[in-house]
Amino acid sequence: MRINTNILVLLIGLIVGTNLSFITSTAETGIYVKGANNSNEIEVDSSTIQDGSESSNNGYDNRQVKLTVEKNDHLSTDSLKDDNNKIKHNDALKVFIPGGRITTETFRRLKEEESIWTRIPGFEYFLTFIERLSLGYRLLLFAGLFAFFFLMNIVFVALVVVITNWNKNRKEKWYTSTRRHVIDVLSPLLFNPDEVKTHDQELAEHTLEMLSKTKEKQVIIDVLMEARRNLTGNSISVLSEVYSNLHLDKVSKSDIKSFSWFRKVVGLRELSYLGEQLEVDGSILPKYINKRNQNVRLEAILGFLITRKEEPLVFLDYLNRPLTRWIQLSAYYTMYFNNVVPPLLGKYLKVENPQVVIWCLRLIAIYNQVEEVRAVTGCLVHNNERVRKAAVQTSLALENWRVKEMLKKRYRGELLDVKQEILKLVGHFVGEKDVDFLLTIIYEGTFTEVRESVRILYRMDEKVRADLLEADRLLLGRLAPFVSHVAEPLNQVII
Amino acid sequence: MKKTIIVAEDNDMLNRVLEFRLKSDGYNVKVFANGEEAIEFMQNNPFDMLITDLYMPMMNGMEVIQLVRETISGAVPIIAVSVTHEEDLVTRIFNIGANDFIVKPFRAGELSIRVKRLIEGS
Repeated sequence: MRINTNILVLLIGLIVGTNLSFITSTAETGIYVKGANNSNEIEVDSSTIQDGSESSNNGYDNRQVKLTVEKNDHLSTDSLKDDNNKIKHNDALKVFIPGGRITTETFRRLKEEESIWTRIPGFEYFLTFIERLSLGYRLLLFAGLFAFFFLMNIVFVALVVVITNWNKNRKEKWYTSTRRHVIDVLSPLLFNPDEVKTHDQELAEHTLEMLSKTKEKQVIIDVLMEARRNLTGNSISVLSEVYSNLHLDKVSKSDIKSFSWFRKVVGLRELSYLGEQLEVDGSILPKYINKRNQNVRLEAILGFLITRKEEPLVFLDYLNRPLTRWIQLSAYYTMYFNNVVPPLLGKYLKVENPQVVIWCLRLIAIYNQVEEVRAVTGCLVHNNERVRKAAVQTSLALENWRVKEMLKKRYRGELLDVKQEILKLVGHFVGEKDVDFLLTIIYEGTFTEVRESVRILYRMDEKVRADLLEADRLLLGRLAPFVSHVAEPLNQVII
Repeated sequence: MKKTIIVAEDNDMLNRVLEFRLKSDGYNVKVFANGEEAIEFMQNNPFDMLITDLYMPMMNGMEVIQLVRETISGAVPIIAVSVTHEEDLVTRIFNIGANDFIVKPFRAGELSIRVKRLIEGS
């Protein structure tokens, strides 16, 4: 980020510098010769011309017109035109100024409108000033200006880099020393929390109270959070007491009111880990669980999982927003790493939100909640096909063979995704009674269904294999590729 | 004579807590912020136990355990500390020579008991 800022500053500097040089170099029209008027005359800026002397016009063949002018002279353009009445050599007309200074000027303005820069009040005076400053060598001045701005850019960027690094190092040094101080004060309370004496804790808190600035308090919170992540047991209650006694929750609460979502996330996390449970999951987390930003929502959900270990999924009662796959995964892994075991999830299989039902079905399978077999069976006839698919998968995970016959009856009316899961379940609990069902699929099913059915039948026994070959004969060899596929030893490994 | 315990852990807060705890238990404690420094010390000095985090900069805990077992000492007790506790990881840690494994977050007292048991056992 810091490098990007430096590059941005360099680019802006270069652009500004280059543009300034460009402006001064392209707006030269009309410094000396103020332009044409209707009478085809060129007005020469008298301020740049010293007392005149001889004048000569050596023709047009050498693409130069030398004119010596008097102060306030008006030059006729006729002398600059060729036979076709066009301005000739207009790019290289030289105005000879007595005193040895020669200035190249263009006379485009004789034919064109005035440059936009000359319309800016005072700009011509500025250019005149430039001309005086450059003693007549304007191109040299512009080159010098360009070089100056370029060098200034480099110096500016170098200064920005140096100051940024210095500031960063200073902040890091301050953070490290403050953090070390906080660790030194807190460590004696944490290494043996069972024997912490009240006056030790009071002394530590009194020492930490000296750190009264918000950023100092944030350092204390950071250390407390780190301790919370690494230690458990009675140390946690010591951490929460310190957090509460030093009123550090005010910092976290101001964070959750912040405009930026990441400050909200940080504040929610601190309150979830260190705050007072009743206040946090009673009044704070429910406010943030339906926020539009997914990260804030997720942090509120994870907060519930941390604070309400006895009933971690209570957040589902508040949730009106979608339970996205990312949230599902994050919530699961938070439970996993914090040793949170969900309660029986049957009641959540009746909620309207299909994402919640699917997630709970997955959790039932993961935590092997066989008590919820009946509730899972109810989901096999859910009106959402993704829920039905997850219900079949969960039934298989729970080894619920009783649903097999029911699923076989529902098979024809199902979508392909659900059919595949049903076939896997039938294959897992396959018996003699399933052979006719599978053979029917072989005659009528799609490619995927046929492949799965052939796989199941082929693995049953020799008699069923003979039925399979008979079916292949009736289907004019259409089954042969499927049979050779499932007979391949390498494919047999993948089940 | 006090027994020396080496602690290799990149988290300075945890380092400090462990140092306090083990010193209060009567051990001599040397704390290092990464595996390389710990190995360098162990190659030149006698020690009685190693407590190492598995995820550290420069040299991770697995490499430290492997190096200690192969080149320094085959008998000194080693406790590995990690935030993850997948079955594969735990099996691997024991296979390369760790004597015990403790998952973060842990109780300071629990670590103290395990240290005592291993040191006295050895």
